Amino acid sequence: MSENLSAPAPPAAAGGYDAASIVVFSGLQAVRRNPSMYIGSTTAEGLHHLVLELLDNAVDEHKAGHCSTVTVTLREDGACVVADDGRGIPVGVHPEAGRPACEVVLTTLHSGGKFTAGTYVHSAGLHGVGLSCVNALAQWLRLDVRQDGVHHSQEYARGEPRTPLTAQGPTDGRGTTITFLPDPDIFDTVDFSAKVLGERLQEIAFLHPGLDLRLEDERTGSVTRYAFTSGVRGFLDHLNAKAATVHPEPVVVTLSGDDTVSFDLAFQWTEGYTEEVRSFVNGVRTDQGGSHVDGMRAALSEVINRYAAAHNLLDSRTAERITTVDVLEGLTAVVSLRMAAPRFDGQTKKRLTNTDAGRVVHKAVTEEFTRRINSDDLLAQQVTHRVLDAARARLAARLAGRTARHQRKQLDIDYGAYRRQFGIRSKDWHESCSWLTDEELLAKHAELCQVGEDARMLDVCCGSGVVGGSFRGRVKEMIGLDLTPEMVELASTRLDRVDRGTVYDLPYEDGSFDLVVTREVLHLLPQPERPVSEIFRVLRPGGQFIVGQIVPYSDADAFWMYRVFKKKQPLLHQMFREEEFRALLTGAGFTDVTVTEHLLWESIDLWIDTHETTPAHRREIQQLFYDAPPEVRAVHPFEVLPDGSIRDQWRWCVYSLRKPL
Amino acid sequence: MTHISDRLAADLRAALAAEAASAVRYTYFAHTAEIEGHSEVARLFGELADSLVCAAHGHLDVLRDTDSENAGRQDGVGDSRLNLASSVVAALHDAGDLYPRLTSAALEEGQADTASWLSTLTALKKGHTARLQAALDDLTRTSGEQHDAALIPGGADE
Repeated sequence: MSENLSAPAPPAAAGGYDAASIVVFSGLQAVRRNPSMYIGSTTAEGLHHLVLELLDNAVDEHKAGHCSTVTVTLREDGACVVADDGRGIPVGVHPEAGRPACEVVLTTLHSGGKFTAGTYVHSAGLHGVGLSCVNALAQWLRLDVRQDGVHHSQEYARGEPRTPLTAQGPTDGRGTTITFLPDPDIFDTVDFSAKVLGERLQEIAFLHPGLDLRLEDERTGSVTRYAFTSGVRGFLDHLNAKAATVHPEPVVVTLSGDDTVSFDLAFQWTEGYTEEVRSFVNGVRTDQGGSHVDGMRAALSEVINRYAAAHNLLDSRTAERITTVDVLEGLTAVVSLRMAAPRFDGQTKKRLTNTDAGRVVHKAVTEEFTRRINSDDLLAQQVTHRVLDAARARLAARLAGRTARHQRKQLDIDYGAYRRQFGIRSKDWHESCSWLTDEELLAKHAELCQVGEDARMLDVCCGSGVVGGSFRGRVKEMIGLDLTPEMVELASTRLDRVDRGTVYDLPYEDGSFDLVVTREVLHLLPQPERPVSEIFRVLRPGGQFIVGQIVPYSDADAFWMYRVFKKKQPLLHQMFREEEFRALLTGAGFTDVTVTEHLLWESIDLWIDTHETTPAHRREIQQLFYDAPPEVRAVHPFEVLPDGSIRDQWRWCVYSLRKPL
Repeated sequence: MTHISDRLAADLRAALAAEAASAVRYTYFAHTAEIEGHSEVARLFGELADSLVCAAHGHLDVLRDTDSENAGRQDGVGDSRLNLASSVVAALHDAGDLYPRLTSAALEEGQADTASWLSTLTALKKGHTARLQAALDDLTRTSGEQHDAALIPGGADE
């Protein structure tokens, strides 16, 4: 477009173009205009990030040897107070700015004591962004500094000083106290969670033996103290307090003495399915891990692979191999790394990117874990078998989806896949997700019951029998049917009689029942038309069928839900959309359709903590939520909590249908 | 306007498809590397994917700006009205032909889960068709120009 190059410059706008018309945004206005860039988000997570920033500063004072107590107070008026007994932010006049140094720190991005070598060795604070960000995003903020026997204070509003720094009189105390009210114009919520902050204070206490932390919630009157001397080992014991562990003693690896990188690591495998890796760099949580966590995982899988190969525990015919993902299943680990000049992805420090640190962790863990495993045969056996179980379960999960298929039009189901899947799960069936025992959801099924009190009911694929059991008192006889002996045994406590059998070939005469109920089953079955027509067959004319199913909210989230649910359960055969499910039922001849909708919050983390979901699939499911497309978010409610856990609202549709007279 | 031969335009179209596919594969591979704990590999794939998207956009630049046999129009790349119209055609094709056909094929092979997956995409693409069509209608109404109306497809089910 060469003609544009010779075009004359645009005429000056009316009113002139001079220095006065240049708008300069001070750093803090930039923070207010785009807060997410500095604190990650303006949701609850971003809100709590403000407190974490202040805590990081106090912890840095502790690490520098000047602070022993930190108190966080949540006031009734919604303000938060973070007080330490450190040296106090300097109040002297800053030589360049000509203003008190503390005012410079509170009003200028990228200022503070962490830019001068020698002040702090391993600092946590966000490169000087921290305190000024909190100030910028607070409706009001009060600074109290007790230093050299004098108490100074200053007040701010939305980042701007409202009063000059003023001496309030003599004091015996010392330290910095920041009191602030988060700005409701910025944040979606300004309600601090004592649980979230308590967890962080507890982490800090574990990672910094000798530091005494308190959380005072004036809204509820509760006061909690956190002070530990046991370090990462104590933290791990705390995390595993309720878990069944594979080996009694955790493995602890410590690398110290090196000025550039040092770390403490404790790890232990449990019989659970999910991994729990808490990682920290200079005391700050790296939620998304990074090179230190990668180094640890790679070292663990290498050492275990080497041991398993040396002891002929791997199946050489299938070239069996333990992957870094396999070691995650049931692994609990706490790693606290200290290093100079850590680099992170993004401003909120979620992931460490220094590869050199990863190499140091990898080397130290490999050496120490190899030593431990070679000197403790029982530990070696226990760990290797646990990880091999995970590796084999991963393969089995992949195969489950394949073996359950029917070939061409011929139905050829491997019932063994279902028996294994649900037999193993029966052990902790009711803990495996919320919906199974949700009273309201069960009531939605039972409320639809329109048969007489002398009715005979069949609960198909009854599982533990809770659905059928919720009809107690409404029908005379309650019969259950399930494929797995373990479930038959479980359900026998709730139902009058439980038979073993398959839904493709119900072991009952035509017209045997007045009512058939089932829930969240048909999507797991290939050719669901067949079980539905079997149910139709065993109902008497005029009999009722009540069935509950999770369905997508619309066409826009079905494909996303398919991916989530398929990764959770390899036996999934269809993600029914509402109209598809309805068509499946009416296609079998059922009439008089009524549908009740019930929205139910489910903890995704609990839901995927199960043997049929592999560690890789669990990660992928979490990622699907984190990265859900806007089209999905627009129709499908879910929330990611500040600790990264996920709650999903499922749309249950409970159908009542009749077999025509 | 540049002039390129039909042959070169066709090859560019193929290169565009390949780069777009690679970009998506790389972001997928980055996820896998992430889960396996290979952050460096994940970063590599992520960075390369960004470059491939940029490269694919560059191919689209060339196809849009060329006057070869109206290649830009043929590719449905141009102003928003043309882009919307060509996208309606593509989404309608996916919803009305491609995914229903694949769903039947999967069912024919006894792959119920794959069939269900493909039918969720039929549903998704129907939704996309409607949204794109609505946006195109809006744009057409507000601009008050009707002369490109012939581009609005009546259907692509063949």
